[in-house]
Amino acid sequence: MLLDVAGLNIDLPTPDGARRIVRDVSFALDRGETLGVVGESGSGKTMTALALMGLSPEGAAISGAIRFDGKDLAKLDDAAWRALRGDRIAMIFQEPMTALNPLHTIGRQIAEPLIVHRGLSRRAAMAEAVKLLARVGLPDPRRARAYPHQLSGGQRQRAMIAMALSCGPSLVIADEPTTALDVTVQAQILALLAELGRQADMAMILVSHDLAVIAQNCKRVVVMYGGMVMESGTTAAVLERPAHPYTRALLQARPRLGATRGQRLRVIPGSAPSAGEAPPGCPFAGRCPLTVPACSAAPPPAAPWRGDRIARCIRLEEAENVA
Amino acid sequence: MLLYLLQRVLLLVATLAFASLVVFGVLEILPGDAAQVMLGASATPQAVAALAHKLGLDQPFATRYFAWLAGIARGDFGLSYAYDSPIGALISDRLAVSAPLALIAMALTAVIALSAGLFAAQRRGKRGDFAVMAASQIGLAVPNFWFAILLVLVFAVKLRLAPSGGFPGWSAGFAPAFGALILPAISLGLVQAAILTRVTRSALLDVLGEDFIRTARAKGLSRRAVLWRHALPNALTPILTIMGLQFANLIAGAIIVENVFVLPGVGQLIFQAIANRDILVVEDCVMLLAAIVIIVNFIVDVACAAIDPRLRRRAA
Ligand SMILES: Nc1ncnc2c1ncn2[C@@H]1O[C@H](COP(=O)(O)OP(=O)(O)O)[C@@H](O)[C@H]1O
Ligand code: SF4
Ligand SMILES: [Mg+2]
Repeated sequence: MLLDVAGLNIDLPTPDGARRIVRDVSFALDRGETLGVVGESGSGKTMTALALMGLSPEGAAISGAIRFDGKDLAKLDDAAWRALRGDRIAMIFQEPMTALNPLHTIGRQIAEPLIVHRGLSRRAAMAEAVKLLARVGLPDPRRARAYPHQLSGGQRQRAMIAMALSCGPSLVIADEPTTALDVTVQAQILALLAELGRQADMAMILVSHDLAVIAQNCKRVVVMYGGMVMESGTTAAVLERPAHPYTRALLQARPRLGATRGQRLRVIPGSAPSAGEAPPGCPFAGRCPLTVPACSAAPPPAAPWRGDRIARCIRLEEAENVA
Repeated sequence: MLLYLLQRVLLLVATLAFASLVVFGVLEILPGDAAQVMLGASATPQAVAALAHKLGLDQPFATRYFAWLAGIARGDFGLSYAYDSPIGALISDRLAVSAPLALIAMALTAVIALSAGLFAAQRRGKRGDFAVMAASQIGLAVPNFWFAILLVLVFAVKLRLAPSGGFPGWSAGFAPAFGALILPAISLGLVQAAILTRVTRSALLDVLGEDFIRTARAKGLSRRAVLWRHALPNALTPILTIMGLQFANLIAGAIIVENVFVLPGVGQLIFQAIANRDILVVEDCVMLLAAIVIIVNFIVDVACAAIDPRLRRRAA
C-alpha cells in the first residue's frame, strides 16, 4: 500500500466560520496504480489533492489519517513536507498557463526540483531538464530556453509533466490535467501521462470531471459529491452497474460524442451544493429521486456493496431495483 | 531585447524633443514679451528692446528654439540675466546639492518600503501587517512641508542632532554636508515610502495568490525561496513603475523642502529665478527636471522589460 487515506476531513475558514469542505474521505492506492477521482466542480477534489501535498489553504484544519509509504503525513513538520513534495509526491495542476512562473524559462522551472532535492548544480540540472523535455515530447533543446508565454497550452502542460516527473516521484497527483486543453491535445497528454507512469512504475491520482477520461485510464475510481465519497470500486463495475443514485445520475447525464465540454454533468436536475453548504445528511438529498426524510437526518455510512465496492446511501437496494 | 531597447531609445528621444518644445513654447505664450516681463512694467520701451536684442528675442521662434537646443547639446545653457553668469555653472553647483538629496530620499523610500511591504505581506491580517498599514496611513496623511517643519523642530531645535537648515558645501567635508541633507531627505522620502509600502504589500499579496506560487511550493521549495525567487520578481514590475512615478513627485517635493531647509539646490534656484523673472534660468531648470523625469521612466521601462520577458515583445 503506497497511500492510505482514512476518514479525511478538511475544514476551511470562511467569513462565517469554519466549513467542512471534505467529509470522511477514504481511499487507498497501491504502487504503480492509477486511481480516478471524479465529481462535479466544487465537490472537493482539489482540496483533497492539496491535503495530500500538505498545501491546504492557510487556516485549514485537517483531521483523519493520511499514510504515505508507511509515514503518517499528519505528523510531518515543514521540513519533512518539503523533502516529500516534488520528490516523492508531485502534482500537475489544471491550468498550465497560470501554474508556470511567467518570468522563468521552462528549463529553469524544470531544473528547480532537481537542484532542491538532488543537489544538482544549475548546469547539470539544466542538462537534465533538456532530457526531461525530450521525454515528454519536446525534443528541441531550445525549448528549455523558452518562456511559458511562448508555448502552446499543450506544450506548457508537457513542461508541467516534465517538472512533476523530474525527481521520479512514486505518486503523481494530476488535478484535471487536460481540462484547459483542446480535445485532441487532451488525448495526447493523457496517453503521455499513462505511458510515463507505466515506465516509471509510478502511482497516479487522476482527478477529472470527465468519466470518459477516468474510464480509459483508471482501474479504480472514487466518485465524489459534496465533499464526500459517494461510491468507489473498480472502474468497470462502477460504470457498468453503478450502485449509488448519484453515480447513476452522473452516467445518465453523460453527453453524447460531440457535446461541448461545458455541458457535461450539468444535466442532473437541481444544482450541486458547494461542499461547504452541504446539508447535515446525504449531500445528494436535494436532487436524488429516491430521497426519503431519513436521508437528511445523518450522513449515510460508507457501506460495502456487492464485492469490493463501497457506497454511501441508505437505499442501495431500492436504487438497484429502479433501473 | 535589442530591438526593444532600440524602440525605447527612439521613443525616449522623441519624448525629450516634445518636452523641450513644450518648455520652450510656454515662454512664447506668456503674456507680454519676455524682456518686458523681466524688466517689469516700469521699464522704458528702449530698455525692453535692448534686452530683447541682447537675449536674441527679436529672432524668429524656430531660430531661437534650435539655437537653445544646440547650446544645451554643447553644454552651453546661456547666460543668467539676474546673476549675469553662465547658467550651466549655476545649475551644476545646485545639482551637487539636489542630486544627492533626491538619491538619498529615493534610496530611503525604497529600503523602507520594500522591507515594510515585505514584512506586512508575509503577515497578512496579523498584528505586524496592521501596524505597518496604520503607520503608512499616517504617512499618507502628512504633507511634505509640514513633516519637514516637524523634523526641524524635533531633531534640530529640541534634540540638536542635526542642523536646522543651510548647507556647508561639499568642500566642508563629507560628514557635515551629508548631515545637512539627512533631515530634508527623510522628510522627502518618508511620505513616498508610505505610498510605496502599500504598493509593495498589495503587489506581493497579488502575486502570492497566483497558481505558480502553489506550483513552486509543490516542488518542495521553502517559503523563503518561494518568496525571493518566485514572488518578489513578479511583484517588482508594478513596484518599479510606481517608483518611477514617485521620482517625479519627489523632485516636485524637493523644490519645497529645499526652501524649508534653506538648501542651495535646484529647487531654490527655480524659486529665486521666478522671483527675479530670470526666464532663461527657469526654462533651463524646468527642462532639466523634465529630462530627469523622462529618463528615469525610460530606465524603469527598460528594467521592467529586463525582468519580464512578456514586456519585451509588446513594444511596437
Ligand atoms: N480557500 C478556500 N476557502 C474556503 N472555501 C474554499 C476555498 N477553496 C475552495 N473552497 C470551497 O471548497 C469546495 C471544494 O472546492 P474544490 O476542492 O476546489 O472543488 P473541485 O476541485 O472538486 O472543483 C468548493 O465549494 C469551494 O467553494
Ligand atoms: S442517501 Fe438518500 S438522498 Fe442520498 S443518495 Fe441515497 S437515497 Fe439519495
Ligand atoms: Mg478542482
